[in-house]
Amino acid sequence: MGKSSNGLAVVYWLIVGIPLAWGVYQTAQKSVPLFHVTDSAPSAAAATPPEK
Amino acid sequence: MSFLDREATVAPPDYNRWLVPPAALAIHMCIGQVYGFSVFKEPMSRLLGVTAPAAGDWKQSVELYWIFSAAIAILGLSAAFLGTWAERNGPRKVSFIAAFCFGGGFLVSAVGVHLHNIWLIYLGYGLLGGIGLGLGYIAPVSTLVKWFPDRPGLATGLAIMGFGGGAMVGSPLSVLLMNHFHTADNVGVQNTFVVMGILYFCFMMFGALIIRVPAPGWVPEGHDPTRQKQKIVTTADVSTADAMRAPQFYLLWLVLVCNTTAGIGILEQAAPMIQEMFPRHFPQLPGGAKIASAAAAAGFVGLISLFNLLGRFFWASSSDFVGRKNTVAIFLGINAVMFWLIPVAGAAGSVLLFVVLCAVILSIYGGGFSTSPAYLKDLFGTKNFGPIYGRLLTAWSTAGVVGPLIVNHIRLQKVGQHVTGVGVYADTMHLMAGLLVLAFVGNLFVRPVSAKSAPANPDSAAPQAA
Repeated sequence: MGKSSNGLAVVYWLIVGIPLAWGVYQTAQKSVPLFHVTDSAPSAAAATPPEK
Repeated sequence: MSFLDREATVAPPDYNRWLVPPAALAIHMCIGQVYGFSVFKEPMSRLLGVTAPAAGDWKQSVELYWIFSAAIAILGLSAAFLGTWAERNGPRKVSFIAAFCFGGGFLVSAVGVHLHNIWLIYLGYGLLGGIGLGLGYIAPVSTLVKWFPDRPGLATGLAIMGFGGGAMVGSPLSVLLMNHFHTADNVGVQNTFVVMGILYFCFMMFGALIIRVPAPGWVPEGHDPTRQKQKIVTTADVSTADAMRAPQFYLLWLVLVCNTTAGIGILEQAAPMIQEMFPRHFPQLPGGAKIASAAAAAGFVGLISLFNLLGRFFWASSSDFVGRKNTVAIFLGINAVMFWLIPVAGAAGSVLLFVVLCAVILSIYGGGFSTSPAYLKDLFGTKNFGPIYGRLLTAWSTAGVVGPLIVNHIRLQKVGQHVTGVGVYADTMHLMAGLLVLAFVGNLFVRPVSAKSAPANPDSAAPQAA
């Protein structure tokens, strides 16, 4: 196997890796609000007054 | 000879095997979208009313509920019934047909949305898409285990990690497209289906075009199949008929069905579960607090999906070193304890512990999917891997259909009895822990396949270095 096949392997991996990385990033970003809950004291969240 | 035939895909002896996993990943990342189908359920429940469900609109818990279940059921059936045909015809032709079925399923579903005909959705996404799922699932995995006989766990972990990642790509992509196509009188589902059908078809075709099979007798440099470290590994190729008669197949089926059902026990009700078990952290008050709660619960679903993805790679690739049977025993044992501890975390009011437990459980759920094909390869060899693996996938279909029914039934029964908080889920979690103990015991009984069922493999006896 030569350098050309290694180069081709890098291209193939990038083609599949970029969308996968985008999906992982989107999901990781969506997870952020959870950490606000686990960090905060429960009473603070529960104390939020109902909106009328 | 057509370029789709198996013979046309045979790689030369010095072919770089690292060119093959991207083909498998491309296909699995597309069909993995099925786990993100739930993002369509809410918009599809207001196709007529647009802003809110109107009379005649499909209901999420009735008509729309069965789309995902149908696709998963057909996945298992098509993998089981078409596995032998797929092995004979080679991965390129099979992936090519899978691309037509999966992409075409989206297009038929778009027509179904346009005509507001639920049967066209069942036919498109459920039946056609399900066949695309089954064929697209087994062909790349079967190919990779042949390329990586020295690291089958790594190979199956890579491919099946792509399936886990499919939902992570598919869900935000669907939302982006629906927002783009959304108008005052259209929710945008129809055009989204058309675009996704074309996109997925093209991406799967990329995988189909670059996939290659090794020449018969090929083994990676330095690998001697007759000197396997793991006791369970056969150096022979067991026929499909003999595999179906072997208790090892049914024990592995039991392991997969129990582990999948248990994982579904969390996945199916992740968002409502965290909100109901921790009402002080997730207040259901009207307005901003409720929106923040919903966002945090969605974040929880996202986080456990990440662990589902990571577990697919971690558990399968570590099984190459620890041994398949040992890995499965370790993760089933850990999983049973995790399920038992969930009600404890709820009673203690510890969101952090609960999240950690669920993350581990989901990593094991993914690990079960990715480790089982490598386990299967160890027991029965690579030659008839496709048809045997296809039949094993009926365990997933069974769990995918029966699991949510059990979980929802118990939950609704508890809610009907006015049980609240941890009590709603405690019985389900204990039931799942019991299933995992059953699977753990089943795994202990797995022995190497007897010599009678495993005739000597001439390819293995005379390895040909790359």
